Amino acid sequence: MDNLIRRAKQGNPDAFVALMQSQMQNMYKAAKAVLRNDEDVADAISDTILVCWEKLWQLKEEAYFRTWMTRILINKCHDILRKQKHISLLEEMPEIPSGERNYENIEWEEALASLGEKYRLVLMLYYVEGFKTGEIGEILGMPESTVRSRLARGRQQLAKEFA
Amino acid sequence: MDRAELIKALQTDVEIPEVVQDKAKAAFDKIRAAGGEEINRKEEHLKKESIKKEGRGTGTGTYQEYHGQLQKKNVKRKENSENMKKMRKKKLAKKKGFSAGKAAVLFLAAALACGSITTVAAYLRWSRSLEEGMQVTEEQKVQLEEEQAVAFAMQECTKQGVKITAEQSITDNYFSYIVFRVEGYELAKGTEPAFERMEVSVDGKDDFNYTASFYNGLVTGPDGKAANADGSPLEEDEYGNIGHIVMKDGSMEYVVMLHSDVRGYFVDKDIHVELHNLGTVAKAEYLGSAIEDTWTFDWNLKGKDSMEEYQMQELLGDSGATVKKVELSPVSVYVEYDFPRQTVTEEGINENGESISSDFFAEPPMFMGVKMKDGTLYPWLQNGGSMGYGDENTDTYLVNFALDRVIDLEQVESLLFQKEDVMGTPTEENFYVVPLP
Repeated sequence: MDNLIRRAKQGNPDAFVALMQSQMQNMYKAAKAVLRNDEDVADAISDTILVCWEKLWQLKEEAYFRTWMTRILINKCHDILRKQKHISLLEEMPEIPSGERNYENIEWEEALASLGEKYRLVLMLYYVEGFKTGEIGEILGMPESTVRSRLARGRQQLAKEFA
Repeated sequence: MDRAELIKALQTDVEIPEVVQDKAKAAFDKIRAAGGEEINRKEEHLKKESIKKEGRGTGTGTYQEYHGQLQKKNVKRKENSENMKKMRKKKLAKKKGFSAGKAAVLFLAAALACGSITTVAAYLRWSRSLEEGMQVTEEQKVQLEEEQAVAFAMQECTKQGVKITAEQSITDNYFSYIVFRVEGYELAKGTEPAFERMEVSVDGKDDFNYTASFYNGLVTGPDGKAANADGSPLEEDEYGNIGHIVMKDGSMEYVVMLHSDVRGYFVDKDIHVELHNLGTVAKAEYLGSAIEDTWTFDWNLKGKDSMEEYQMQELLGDSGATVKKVELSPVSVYVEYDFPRQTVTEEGINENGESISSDFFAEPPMFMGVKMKDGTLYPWLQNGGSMGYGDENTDTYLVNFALDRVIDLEQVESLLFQKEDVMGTPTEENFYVVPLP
């Protein structure tokens, strides 16, 4: 991936597109942990793609690319939430229309919905995206200690749910 | 489902919904179109993004442009007869150095083009972007001024209430940093300023690359991440911008970096710059011009051949790369490696969910920075330039980067080449450390 990042920083649009395409699963899952409908997720991801292209020069060290990109994505998701004033509605994940979804997606979204909203994003970034607690702190703009405590509480909640 | 199964379920790949794929594809198309336009056209305006060098820099290309934070040049090759006439006039007036007489000729030429040059500053003030952004010490300032590596053009051109001053330049063998101060332009919230088009010629020629952007007060911190040059905590505004383009006095600085592979290309050369139409850019798209006008400048870059040159045969670990030659100046580095070609294939997935792969040449351990005699590491010095094989038939790999700060050559002990990815503040163990002979 480093090579793609470096070539994208050189201004190579094909390398940039290939790089972002390789991140689509990660971006979709992270955005879906914040936003409830796919239209909003699509907006957040497309905005993130364009902002990353515009601001890739700000990234000095390739190793930080995923942290940097995810931070942009999460900020975009929060922007959308703020604009829609839907924050209070997100305490519970909505019913997912299953008619047009395949089985894997339904199972995945059910698993996601089972995570409490407060801990969902931290748990996703840790267990699914594979970020370290320090990186999650940087992505979410919170101290690493807060990330650790949210992870611990999220785990406790899961333990209760699946006891 | 237990906890382990839940986590496993979350880790499973999901089908990306069509609406997400469609919008992502639209964004990719926009970027490809913007990139394609930049690469192919010579007559269109500049966009606010990095674009690969025309005809080079493809996957298995040779000498690639590495623009870092700045823009691809978009030089018009058609001869502008009026400009060329001015250039010829300047050449007639040219003497070695930068005399008061020459300055008068240059200001007259610029005044004719601009129509409203008002004054010449009586003192030589370092621009914020060079002083703060290049982290220059007072001692280095004096040295660079004495060596005439720095030129203070101090030409003001005012159009529709926007005053632009060609303030300062630092020039060495391969690069020239040029700073324009922009005053009287009110930047809309959440946007970034941009000139729609820029034309630059040096000694009447434009066969070099240039990149440009507005200075935003950011430098690279010790951990390789963005940091505010003034030391204040990094903050992000509601639009996701972390830099501060508009200074406390309401002005902004536009930094242009010229780059040529030809040694000494810019030193003591006359430069002509036209900045066209000032507007804003967002999400890879020029949003239009708030002010349609042209600001024109002419001056001499001065500059200094202050390279230290080192011949060596340093094998970089088991990478297969040998450093053969290094040229180091206070603001740039040039490295020649012997690095037999290795083809690397990178796999990916396109927007249709199909597997794709692309081949390109592996890179040697990249020059990252220097170690000073007092033990200080500057590991994040790269600031745009070029890299790649010299030509199709050689294993000589060339790297030519501008540095992101001014360094004191006498105090450099070793060069640092990337050994591994670094997270956090690096130590010597993260690099191949090559002592200077």
